[in-house]
Amino acid sequence: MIGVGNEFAGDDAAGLLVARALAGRGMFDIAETSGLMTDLVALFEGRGRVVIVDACVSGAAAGTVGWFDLSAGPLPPDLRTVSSHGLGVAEAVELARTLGLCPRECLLAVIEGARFALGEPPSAPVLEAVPGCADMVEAALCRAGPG
Amino acid sequence: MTERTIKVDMLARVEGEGAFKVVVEQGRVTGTEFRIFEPPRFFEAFLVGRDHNEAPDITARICGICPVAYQMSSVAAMEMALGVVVDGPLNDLRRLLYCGEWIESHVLHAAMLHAPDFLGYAGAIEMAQDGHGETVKLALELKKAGNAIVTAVGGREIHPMNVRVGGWYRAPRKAELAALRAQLVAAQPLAETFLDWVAGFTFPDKERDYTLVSMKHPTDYPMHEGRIASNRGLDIAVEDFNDHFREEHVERSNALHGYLIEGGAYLCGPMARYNLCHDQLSDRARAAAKRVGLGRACLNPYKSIIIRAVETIHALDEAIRLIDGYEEPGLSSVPYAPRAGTGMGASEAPRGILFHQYTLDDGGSIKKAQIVPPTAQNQPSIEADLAEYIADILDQPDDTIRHLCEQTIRNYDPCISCATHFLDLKVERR
Repeated sequence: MIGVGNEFAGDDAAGLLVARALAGRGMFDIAETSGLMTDLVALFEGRGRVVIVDACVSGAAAGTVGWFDLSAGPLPPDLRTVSSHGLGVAEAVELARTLGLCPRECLLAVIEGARFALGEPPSAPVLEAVPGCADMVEAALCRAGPG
Repeated sequence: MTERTIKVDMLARVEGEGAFKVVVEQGRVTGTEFRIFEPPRFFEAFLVGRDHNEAPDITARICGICPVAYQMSSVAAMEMALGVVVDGPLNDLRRLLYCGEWIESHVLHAAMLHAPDFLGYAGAIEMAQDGHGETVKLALELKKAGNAIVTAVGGREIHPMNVRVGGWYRAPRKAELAALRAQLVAAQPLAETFLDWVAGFTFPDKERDYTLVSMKHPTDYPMHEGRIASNRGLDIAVEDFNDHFREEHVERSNALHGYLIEGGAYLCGPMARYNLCHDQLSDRARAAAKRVGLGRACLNPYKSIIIRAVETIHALDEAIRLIDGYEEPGLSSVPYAPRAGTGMGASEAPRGILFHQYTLDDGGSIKKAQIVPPTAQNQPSIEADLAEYIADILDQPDDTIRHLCEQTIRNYDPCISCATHFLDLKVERR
């Protein structure tokens, strides 16, 4: 499980909060990253199943959780994950796919954010969405089948 | 009189939010603007009232690419304010950590962000898809050497958390660093191959008579300590930074523009370091530079990609040297008591000098913070480059001009971080 984000920028912390909610649940590895393409590709290596969690801005209500199967194809062009520093989640998956380094199963969970200003705490809807998202991530990672 | 506007949204391969506009009147460049929307001062306000020991971790979040630079400059400033001296192995570990960041950042920029400009691709993915996949893999492998250093010394790969005012939360064991050494040795030939690759690109034949400013150390290639020097005779202590450099607000940009009080725009970063401190590169790095035809002096900013590859070789060599000489310190950090004071610190982020200044109250809380990032310092130089380097291609199609503008901006590895990545490029022809 890879949590992407910045804990000092409001709802950009969503991915990190899910990662921390999953700490101690065992059975899978957890990583936190700011979301640089190269760091994500390095985290993909040798993994059969990966779930990435990031904040996004798509126009949905804050706290809305969306799921995308990146193994099946690129992210929709109109969906913007917010913690990418120029080259982020979508680009990392495409580069990994090109280089033959993409996990067989690569899922992205996104939590719609409302505010991203530096120093702001995460918004209430995002905080409320974190436990449920963590449960879904755990279920996805721990279900039967080759990982 | 004609007027044309070219606009590019969502340009990848530039960190953060920026825009560029060039005004061309009657076939002549009459104005250039490189605008930054990043508000770094928010971080400075965010720091006020925080404990001094929070600064390294908070400022490290300014940038996902150069957290170590922010940590090193902030602890240096704090330690000056608090009268703490960090030396010996505790200081060597800081240099080792910085080697890791240079490798990570230089390889990321050179391979993924800048190389596509020279090879004619939209980005690293297209480059990898079109016959350069093995080189991209090599770059990723090389970058891992930097990640391994940051993990071993900093505690984790991204946003290292082991740095503290006075030293470290936990100093690594000698055996831990010895295990790292083999990976660095294995990366040395990769770095040579990487240098050969970038040195084989075709470079625009352009240079200017830059004022180059970098840190300078009596014995070492500059990273986390030293004085500040220029090729025009400047040689000052870090604490005198504000006496010689000024920041100017311009309406079009959220980042302050940095100038020398004595003499206008200047350039900091790899090209400045290389020109001012070439002799302090490792023997292998100097030999490698010579092998690929990079002279002792280089004023062609497009060749900064070669210098980044040379500095990557140096950082690997330096990391191995530091590991070989490492002795475990008795204490992980130097004890101190909080006190009121003001301190300044600077270090060489991969893309140039990063200056920090803090004023603390009696309890060690931050009363005032000043952060001068390298990209702000380089903004006037970027604008001057753009004005000069496109002057002889104004009769070319807009796409040609746009490409050279973007490539020129990327020479600086601008880090307009903590945001998304919009570069709005506008050419006005009147």
